[in-house]
Amino acid sequence: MTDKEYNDCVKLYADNVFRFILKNLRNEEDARDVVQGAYEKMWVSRHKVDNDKCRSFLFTVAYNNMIDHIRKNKRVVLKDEFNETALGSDGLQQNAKRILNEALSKLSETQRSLVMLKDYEGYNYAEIGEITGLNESQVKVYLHRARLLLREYIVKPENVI
Amino acid sequence: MLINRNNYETFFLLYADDELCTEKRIAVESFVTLNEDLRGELNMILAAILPADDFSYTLKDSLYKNSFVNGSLQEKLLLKIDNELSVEELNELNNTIAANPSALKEEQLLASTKLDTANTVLCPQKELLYKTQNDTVVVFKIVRWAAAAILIGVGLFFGSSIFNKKALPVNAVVKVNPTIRPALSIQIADSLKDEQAIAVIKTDSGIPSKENIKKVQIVAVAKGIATNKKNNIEKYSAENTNIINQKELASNKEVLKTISPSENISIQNITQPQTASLNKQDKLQMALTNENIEPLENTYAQAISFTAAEKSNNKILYMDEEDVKRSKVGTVFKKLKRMIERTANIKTGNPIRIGGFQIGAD
Repeated sequence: MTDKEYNDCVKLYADNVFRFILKNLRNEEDARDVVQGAYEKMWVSRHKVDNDKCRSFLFTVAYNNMIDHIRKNKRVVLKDEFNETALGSDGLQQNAKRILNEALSKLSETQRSLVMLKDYEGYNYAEIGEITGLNESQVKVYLHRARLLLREYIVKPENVI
Repeated sequence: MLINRNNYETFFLLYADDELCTEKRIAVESFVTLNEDLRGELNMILAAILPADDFSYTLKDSLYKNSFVNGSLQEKLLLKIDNELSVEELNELNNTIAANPSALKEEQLLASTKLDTANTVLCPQKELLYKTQNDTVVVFKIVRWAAAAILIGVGLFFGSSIFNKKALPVNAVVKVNPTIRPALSIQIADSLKDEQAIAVIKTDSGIPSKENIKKVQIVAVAKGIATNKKNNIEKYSAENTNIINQKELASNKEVLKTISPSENISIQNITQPQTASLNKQDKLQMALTNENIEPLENTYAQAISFTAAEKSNNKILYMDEEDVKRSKVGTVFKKLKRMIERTANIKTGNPIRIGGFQIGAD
């Protein structure tokens, strides 16, 4: 990977990686640290990483760093919690988003990561398995369970849109 | 039990509820025929039976628990949401959904769990992640560099003795008392006869040495003492040596006779024929004690190279600087210097860059 290719990776994927980590950790400072750590590791290993695989490399490293961070800190009370729906002109749509985000926060870390990798980044089961260290069947099962949990939360009488 | 006018009401109720077997129903009907006044009462009981109405519940479908969306269909719907179906499977599923309104509703619910891909989250300070060409990160492993420097130093230390042929013996440095030049006073024993004349040579410190004893012998030979007396000379030399050793330095001055300047024997002249048999240390002692030799330079610490040409004090690992430059050790030094300059960008006027920090180096 050349320097230019590395900088292209920053331009293309930094926002996506940051969003993925932020929605998991729900803390902007920690998410920034994890993203910077992931890019630093990619820079150090740039001679070994192909340009085609830089995106999955980034997400793999960021995911592992995030898990390490969670295990190290074991936050119970979230401080400076990120609120995505603070602004919005369309009230109904924002409400739906808010409910979905609430439902997402109820999931476990693994399930949440799988849903985001699938929906935000469009990875298939095999690629998600490589990033998270699971096999394809596990990804499929965990992802389906997560979706059913989200669905159950959405159709609750108090959350009906 | 037979029906009679005391228990007919019970039989009539059972008859109306259709709870009697055929024989007993016939018995009740026979009883009513025989007792026509009780027929009106039976008809009143039969009139209280409610008719079955024709009634249907329209919302029956909402009562079902997705039994029609079975496990396999739900899994297919989830796979469709995840875009994991092939074209044929997708078409088949779409046909199924179209034919089944409940499946369509389920699909819509599952689709609402999909996250919005429109990214409104931006990475802050993204510009810090970019790398430019000048930001070369030099990974400075202190331990490895220190180990490498130590190994190189050790290698050069031992290599200098191998590469440089002009290397001097390790024990070549001789420390000379800078304040006192050893001076000899040749004293001839007064109590001894000429043939037994022995010159006891002492240094100012009062401590005789083997070399001095040897010089005594040389002097004796030079004075023409007979060879057969040599044994006596040696014996006397040895005895005197022991005596002298036992005395204290301050009082150890057995001055027997002081010779006049005319009798002063130039040791160097006498020993010239004997020079070949003397070792270097003896020559050194003689050179030290000969007043005709000019004082040595650098008497504090010096290598044994008392030639006048040895004027330079610049030594590198016991070698002269010029010799080092010309030797193989010098080429190793030059290569090492060039490598370090290239790696750490050390040039005259350029700062050293380590880990993104700059250390000014003049």
